[in-house]
Amino acid sequence: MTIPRTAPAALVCAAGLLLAAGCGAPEEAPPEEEATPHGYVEGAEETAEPQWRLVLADAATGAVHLFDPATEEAAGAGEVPGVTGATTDGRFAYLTTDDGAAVLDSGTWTVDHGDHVHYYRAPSGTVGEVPAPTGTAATGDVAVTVLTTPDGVQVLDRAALEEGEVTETAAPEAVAAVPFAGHLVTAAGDGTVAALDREGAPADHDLAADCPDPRGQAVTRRGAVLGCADGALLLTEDDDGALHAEKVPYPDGVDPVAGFHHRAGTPVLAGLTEDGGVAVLDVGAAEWTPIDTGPAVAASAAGEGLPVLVLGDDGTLRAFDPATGEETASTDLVEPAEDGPAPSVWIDTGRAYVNDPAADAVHEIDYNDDLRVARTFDLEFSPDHMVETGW
Amino acid sequence: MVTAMSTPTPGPRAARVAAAAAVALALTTAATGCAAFGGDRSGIVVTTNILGDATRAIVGDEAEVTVLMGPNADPHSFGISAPQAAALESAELVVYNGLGLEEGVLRNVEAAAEAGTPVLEVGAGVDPIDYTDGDTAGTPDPHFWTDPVRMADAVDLVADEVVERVSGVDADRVRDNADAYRAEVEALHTDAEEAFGALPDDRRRLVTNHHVFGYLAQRYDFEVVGAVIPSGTTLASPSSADLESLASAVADSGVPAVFADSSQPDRLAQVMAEEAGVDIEVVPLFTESLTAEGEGAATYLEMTAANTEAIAGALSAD
Repeated sequence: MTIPRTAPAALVCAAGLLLAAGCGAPEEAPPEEEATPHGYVEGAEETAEPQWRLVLADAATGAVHLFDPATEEAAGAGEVPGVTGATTDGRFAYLTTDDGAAVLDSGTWTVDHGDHVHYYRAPSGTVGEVPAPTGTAATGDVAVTVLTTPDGVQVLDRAALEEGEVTETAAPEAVAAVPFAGHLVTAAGDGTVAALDREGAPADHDLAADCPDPRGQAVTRRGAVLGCADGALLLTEDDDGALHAEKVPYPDGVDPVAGFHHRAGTPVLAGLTEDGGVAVLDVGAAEWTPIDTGPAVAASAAGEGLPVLVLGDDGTLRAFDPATGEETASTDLVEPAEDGPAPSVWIDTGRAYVNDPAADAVHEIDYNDDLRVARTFDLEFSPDHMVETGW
Repeated sequence: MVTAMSTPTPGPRAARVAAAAAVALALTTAATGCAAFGGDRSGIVVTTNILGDATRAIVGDEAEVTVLMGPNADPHSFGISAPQAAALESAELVVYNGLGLEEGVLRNVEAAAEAGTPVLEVGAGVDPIDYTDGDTAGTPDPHFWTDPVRMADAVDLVADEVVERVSGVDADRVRDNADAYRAEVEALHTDAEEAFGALPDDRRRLVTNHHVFGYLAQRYDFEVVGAVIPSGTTLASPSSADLESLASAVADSGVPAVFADSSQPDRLAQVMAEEAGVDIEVVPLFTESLTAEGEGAATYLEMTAANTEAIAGALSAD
């Protein structure tokens, strides 16, 4: 699959992925009522509660399901044959294969206004495809979704996605990027860091920073982060709108991270290191805290003053205090995986979810109650890949 | 279902629209002498369904009234189609709530004002109050319709503007319609005073996750007690931490009812009783949108009467 480099460009929906669900506009999209042009456009419905959804993909069959933990119902959402992974910007799930990714609109999201939030629900459906193969990670803001892929960076227009179209607004020459403060901050293969506008043109910010061998990115309420070979690069905006970059070197004995995981927006990041350990980055304090976990396969952080959850290769889920690194709780959760993709840990405001492909199940964890297993959802398929949307 | 926590967009944007609207009003006032110009415009366009209902009652058959927001929609997020945007720009009058409420169509209202369409921001003309808590403190609360006294003032504002801006209407008939409708809105106020007046002082507390009842609270001397309502995923298998905010709000306020949208109100009441030891009734209220016919709040009059009855009934229970 080739990557169109003319921007803005509507990517053509190719045949192959999402066979069952087809391509094009989201399913169940309300038709334009031509007969009553003075009617209303029924779109998203605002809801009183968060609308969390687990997007679950079965690697063997390619079947994709949207699971609603409130109703415990799994709805079929098409097929992605050869699915190898999943990533999300909070609403749209990107289900990767070796050739590209299918884009699924999960139909649920949250708009954060700082002191309060709005929750929305709309029909789900397939959007199209993007040339973002296995290994792609998504980050996003209200205007764009940035896909950091093994082949480079793609910037998608969020409003177009919401209309059921994949439109690339920029394709900066970089190996990693994050959307931040109305800009894109990119890191190139040679470690050069640049601030661009959303269309990919250079912006007037001298970040005076480098990021050798960039890997991993996160957007938080207190700044964005790029992972580098020599530490984490913290990006902040001051009151005058100027962008700043600060390198937080890894502590002694901590390997470089391969990726960051956290509850959406929160400024405490669990970094999975290249040697299978975990180090916690407090974005507000610009500090690393190494965690003595033993070999880890998945981790995520719940936020400031809340636990960091680590799933060990022994199948045990452990909670750690992010400030001290002290273990506070543990529970034997999943069968240790012999092969296949590693499970993942997703944390929302109320619960955490861990997929258990060997048991065809997803576990719901009350992370404020000593990792109590609140519920286990038995499924009729194998949830090999999981992302949580609705944030 | 409507928002649990809704507050307006920050002030500067609203102020900019207001300024643009003022310029537009000046321009169109100058242009109304030109028959050809006036003839290109037609009808009245209203953004929210609450104001749409009131405007229809005032205008009657005198002009066409188009309401952009459908039943059971969300005033913050609803958007409009291209034909609707065109109708907005060619209207003789656009009536909108303002104060940051209609985030999704503010851009269109702004564009219409710049294109010379007369626009009326009703919220700005009914003595708005400001939020006092959180990041939105100091910005105006747009949900003025929860106070019928302010809604009665809004009726006059709309009637004045219709008479002045919309060609071909019979001014006397519009005034008569407005007087009749205003009397019905004032009757809502009389009924509310009576119903709420019967409540003892220690029952005048609204434990809620809604942000829309600030005007009602001010008018009828209620205290709004904010609480986090446990959501569907936590209710399935709750721990005490999940219920703490609501349990302490209920215990501190000593009232028997919580006014909240919940996907599972019965389950919520059951969990609160079993796990937190507090007995509550979970009462839904109509907040930011009218409903379809037959769903309890098809008109502003029906919506307000239903809320008054629900609040007074739940808080007077033993």
